[in-house]
Amino acid sequence: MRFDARYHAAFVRPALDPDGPFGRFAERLLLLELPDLPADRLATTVEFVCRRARQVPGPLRLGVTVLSGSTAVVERLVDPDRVVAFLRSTELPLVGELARLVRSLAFAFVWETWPDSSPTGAPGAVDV
Amino acid sequence: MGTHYDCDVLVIGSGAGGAPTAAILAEAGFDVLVVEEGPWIEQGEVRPFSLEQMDRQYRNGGLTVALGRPSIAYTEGRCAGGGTEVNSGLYRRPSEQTLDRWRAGWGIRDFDTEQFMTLCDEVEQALSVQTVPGRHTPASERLRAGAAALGWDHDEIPRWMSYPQDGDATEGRRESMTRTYLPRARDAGARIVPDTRVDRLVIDRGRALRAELTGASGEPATVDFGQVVVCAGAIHTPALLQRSGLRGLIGRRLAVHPTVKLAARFDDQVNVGDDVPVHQVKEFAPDLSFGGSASQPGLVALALTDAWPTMRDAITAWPEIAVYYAAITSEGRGRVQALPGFRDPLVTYRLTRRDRAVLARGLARLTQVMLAAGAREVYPSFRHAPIVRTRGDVADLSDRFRTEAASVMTVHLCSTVPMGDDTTIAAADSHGKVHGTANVYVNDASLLPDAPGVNPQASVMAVALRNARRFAEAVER
Repeated sequence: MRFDARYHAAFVRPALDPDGPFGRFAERLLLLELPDLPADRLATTVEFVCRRARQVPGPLRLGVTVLSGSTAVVERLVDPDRVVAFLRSTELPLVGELARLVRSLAFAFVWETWPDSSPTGAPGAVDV
Repeated sequence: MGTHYDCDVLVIGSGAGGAPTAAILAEAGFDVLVVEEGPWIEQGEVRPFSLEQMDRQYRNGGLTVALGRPSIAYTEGRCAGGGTEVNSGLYRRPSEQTLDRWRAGWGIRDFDTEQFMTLCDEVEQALSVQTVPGRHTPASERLRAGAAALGWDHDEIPRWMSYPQDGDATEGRRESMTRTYLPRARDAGARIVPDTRVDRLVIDRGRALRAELTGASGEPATVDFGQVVVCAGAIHTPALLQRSGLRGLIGRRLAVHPTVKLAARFDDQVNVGDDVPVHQVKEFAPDLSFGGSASQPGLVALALTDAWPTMRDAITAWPEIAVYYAAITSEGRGRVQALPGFRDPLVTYRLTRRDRAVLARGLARLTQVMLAAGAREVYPSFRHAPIVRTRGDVADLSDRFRTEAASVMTVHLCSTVPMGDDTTIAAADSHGKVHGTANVYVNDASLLPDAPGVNPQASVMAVALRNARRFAEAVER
């Protein structure tokens, strides 16, 4: 079995599952960005974001796994909402890409799937 | 053990390079086997430019990135027909200056401009390349009108599409590889094996003997062949060659057309989700050109993402919004490096100072076109971007723009195995045989010596026909 298949099974899949560190980070971020997104839509969106994150090329997937794993460690020491708020606004190279990745995937998914969504995620804002 | 195949010629990849190669060689009497990593999906089975299409027909779900400051997102087709199935189908011949530069700069033999243009004629005939006979989309019309109002040079780019008589832009049917060269190859006896990845070529003293494959469910297979032509695209062709032990100049000179984007809101509905504008603004070509992108609501949201706090209220007006791009001819270069143990290579790209300046200028000028076209608001795609409503706001846009804050992307990738007889800069000879090998050929966008400054697939297909014909003459069956 090649290395990336082994590390995928051992580390990446758990880390990038909806209930893993990356999924939890995505959910917290989207609660801030799209506070009116209904719970079922939020869950579907987080699932989509995690599935797509597992598809990125191996070297990048390793980076996402390490970053989200590090986020989970920091969240044990600092209020998780403060961590998400920091990552949401930081422009540090690489670190800032985590929130950007989640936001890009989620927004593309939300408005392709539910084009009636308001800027905060509430349904029924556009006649389609 | 797994499945085993034998053939005269193994063609790896079935896109703009692989499909014409397979057709020409099969028609010349070679026993051809085409191995394609992605699935065979008929045109119309998947909605164009949708997330489902990204899932099924793009590599890594469309989430591929060349790392750098900034990183550049890129997309590649991963299906039978490759990029021709999923891209805009826009077709433009390379300029004579480009062909002259390639010939002289890389020492390409037998690369006559007139003969090359004859090959372009042949491609255009095979793919029904034409302009829209009927009405253009509103978003395309806006781009044209904006350029015309400014007195800037612009035109309609033909596409590989067939239309009903007087048909409108949205009625076109894409004449991609699965509808043209791949059926030709199959009719001439070629076997096409989709959903199968080539992991590695077994090469002994410069001669490739066997390919090791993996099927969609992980089952192994092998192919023994006389010759191999690698047409896996500008990222995965060099990656495969590197995994097979070939290095040298392979993968060192990745060239792309970086683009920056904006969304523009008009007073009436312009959004057509499953088609793209066909007009381009060429006033500043080849350094800079402007065109339109797919604009489904999800893609409009994506264009607004970077400055979401400022621009998010616009999303409910998506029917009035279309997305446009400014593309540059870059002086920067990138690298493709296969990493031991990883399926995917590491891709990097470095923009030059001049590239950054041209991207900034491009975004400002594209904004001018939008305002001249009647846009009520323009939303540039970079962090902290302002909403532009008047020409006076364009200065503010230029002041705030930083390339590192922008969503830079590209769909044109080439030059990772440049062809030519000058072995100090070319990785393959003038007809695509990898230097230092006896029977390993490349025949795709990797061979183009640099980015042509226009949509590259006309160049790719014409080069593929040229090299395949030469191969058929030179290699014994």
